[in-house]
Amino acid sequence: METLDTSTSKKRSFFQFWNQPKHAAYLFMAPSIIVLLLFMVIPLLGTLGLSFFNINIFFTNTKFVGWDNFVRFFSDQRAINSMWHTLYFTLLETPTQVILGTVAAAALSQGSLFNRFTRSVFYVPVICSLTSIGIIFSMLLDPNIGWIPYFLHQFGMSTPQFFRDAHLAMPSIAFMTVWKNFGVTMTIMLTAIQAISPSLYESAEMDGATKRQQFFHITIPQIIPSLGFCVMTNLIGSMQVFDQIYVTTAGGPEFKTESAVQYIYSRGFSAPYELGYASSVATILFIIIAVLAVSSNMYMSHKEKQMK
Amino acid sequence: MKSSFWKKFGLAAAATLAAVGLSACGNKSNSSSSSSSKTTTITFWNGFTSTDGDILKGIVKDYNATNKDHVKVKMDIMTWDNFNQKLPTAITAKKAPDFVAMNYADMSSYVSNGTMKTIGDFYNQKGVNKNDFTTTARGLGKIDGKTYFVPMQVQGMYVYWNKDLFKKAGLDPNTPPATWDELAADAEKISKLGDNVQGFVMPKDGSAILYNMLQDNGAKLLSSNEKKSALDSAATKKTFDYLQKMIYTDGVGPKNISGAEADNLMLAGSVGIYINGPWLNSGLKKNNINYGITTLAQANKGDQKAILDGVGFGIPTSTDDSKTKAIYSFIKYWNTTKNGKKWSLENKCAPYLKSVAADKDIKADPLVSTMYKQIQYAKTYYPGNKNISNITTNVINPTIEKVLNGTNTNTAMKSASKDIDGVLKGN
Repeated sequence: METLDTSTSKKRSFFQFWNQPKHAAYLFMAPSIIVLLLFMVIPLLGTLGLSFFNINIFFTNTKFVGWDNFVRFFSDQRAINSMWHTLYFTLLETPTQVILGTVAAAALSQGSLFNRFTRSVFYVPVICSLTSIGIIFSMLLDPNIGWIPYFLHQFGMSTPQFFRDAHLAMPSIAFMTVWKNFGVTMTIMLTAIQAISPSLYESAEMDGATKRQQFFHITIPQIIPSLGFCVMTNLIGSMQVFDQIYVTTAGGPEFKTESAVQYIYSRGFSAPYELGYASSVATILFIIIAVLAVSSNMYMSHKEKQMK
Repeated sequence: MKSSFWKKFGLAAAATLAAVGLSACGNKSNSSSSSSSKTTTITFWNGFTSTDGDILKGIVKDYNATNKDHVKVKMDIMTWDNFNQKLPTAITAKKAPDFVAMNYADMSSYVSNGTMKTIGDFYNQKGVNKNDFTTTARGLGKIDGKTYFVPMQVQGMYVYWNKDLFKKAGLDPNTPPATWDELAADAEKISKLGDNVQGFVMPKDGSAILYNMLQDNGAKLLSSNEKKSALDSAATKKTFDYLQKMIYTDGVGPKNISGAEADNLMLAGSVGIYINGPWLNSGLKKNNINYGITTLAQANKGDQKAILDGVGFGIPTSTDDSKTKAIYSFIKYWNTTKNGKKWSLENKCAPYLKSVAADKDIKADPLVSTMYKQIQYAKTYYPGNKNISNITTNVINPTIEKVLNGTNTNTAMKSASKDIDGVLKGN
């Protein structure tokens, strides 16, 4: 009888403990923390660890090499070029997407039927897979069978080579990515714009402000937090560009579109299967992305404070 | 009261989700090794995704239905790209298939990492006639004197020509180019037809074509001890100049085109001359292209130089020894005269079994007999060298691209030679 009482009281105290908000919070967070640990933190630490080894994908002939892989990176021209290409892509893609998304959101913020339809149309590419879009664009822009070069040729232009031209390939990939993803930025911006109090615009109009002035002096300052979020997520995404390049140019012509992730992949997952060196390049990329993300976040927070 | 219920419900749900998540992560899917105590199921990966895959499926189906060794082959066909990406990780994770069919150029890197079993004893199995295999075909699977692979297919690079385009360009549709000079002259005439017609296509990843050209011109990729690059030579420069003149200067074909894109152009009937393996035959037939196939062009008329390549069966070290007999049973079935003939005739491949080569139907088939002619004098290219695959992907293919895009051939050659030395040193 006494035992039963003890057991019931233990059960009660267990539930009471976890029923407290400060303890329950951990339980609610547990699934996310487990997923993050398994698929983010542990692989990240694993990658960092592998960076210090000369190790192949078969895990044979493993040797601890210290900082050698990192030193090798700075004399590997192809690896350094891949970082520059990634940065070039980011500079093309992120500002274009954020600007286009913001302008489209501002233009389509009113809830008319046409605006709602246009927003849906702009969002359609977002739900398509990037691989499928890459294949479609490869066909559309192919100088031999593509419609776009064909029509340009019909208008008297010389057939552009798009993905096969060293100068046009990266801008073409960036354009394709913007076309696919700007619906997301537009939606986030739209939510931010719609949350702005109409009274601000009414007062501005009474004071004689033009639409352009309203956009730059009311809309933009009000959506700075969302803008910061979009810039940061796009920046991180662009620095990790892979799928669209893999499908369209595979890093060519002459490695001119080879991104950092593409290079890491080719080093680690094709001959000579250098997993250790690929991990060290991945670690360097991680540091670069972290620095860029933190600085952009700090800049945006600073701007946000200035606007208040 | 209500709030307390939902709080408890939420707690229980979160705990369940966490538990399910953990248990899912620990779940190990059990790969089927046997469907019954009598039948041994063996898994088989390969990259025959084209019409050749259908023929292969047919042979596997026949084997599963008729074999008396109680073996069932479970086949997974994927693109060669996917195959080469999945297999290394599968081997490391001990999830590799029981046996594979793999290109010879890729084998040595697996062997050097100790991930493939020696299977020389296959030739001692009851019912296997070792002497029926040509010595060169058997030699393809040998690395450092040990047999790691048994032939499944042998192949080379052949010249395909579009007879209709030859006729349109005023060329004899029954006389394909026999030398590289003739090929360039014919290609130039065809490229003048306009309307997006290409005289000759050299893919930017066309290392197999380049290696044949280099060998034919007397250029070498590696030194005799295979420890240094031997690419920097007058013969290499001559080869690079030849390609650059044709594609970059004369514009007889497109620049920056991949092998897959080049195949599509040929299959669409807009290429005059193309060099490729036997796998293009089925697509050309399907598309009703009026084409011919001949032995590889040569530097001098009458020369007989070509590279022998192929696909072989191999067993990863992760495969349990108890399955070896079952795998040998299938490989033995594959290498019967009946199946060798079927594969050669339907897939248009040169035979490597003497009994198949002697068959009257094989001799009567103009395409297969032409290919067989080349296979007889073709030689392997740096067999067993573990660096070839790396050199091809990271040095030769990018160099082809540079040459076709107009980079000074001397600079491209010297840079490639230096890069090969880097690969050989392990950088």
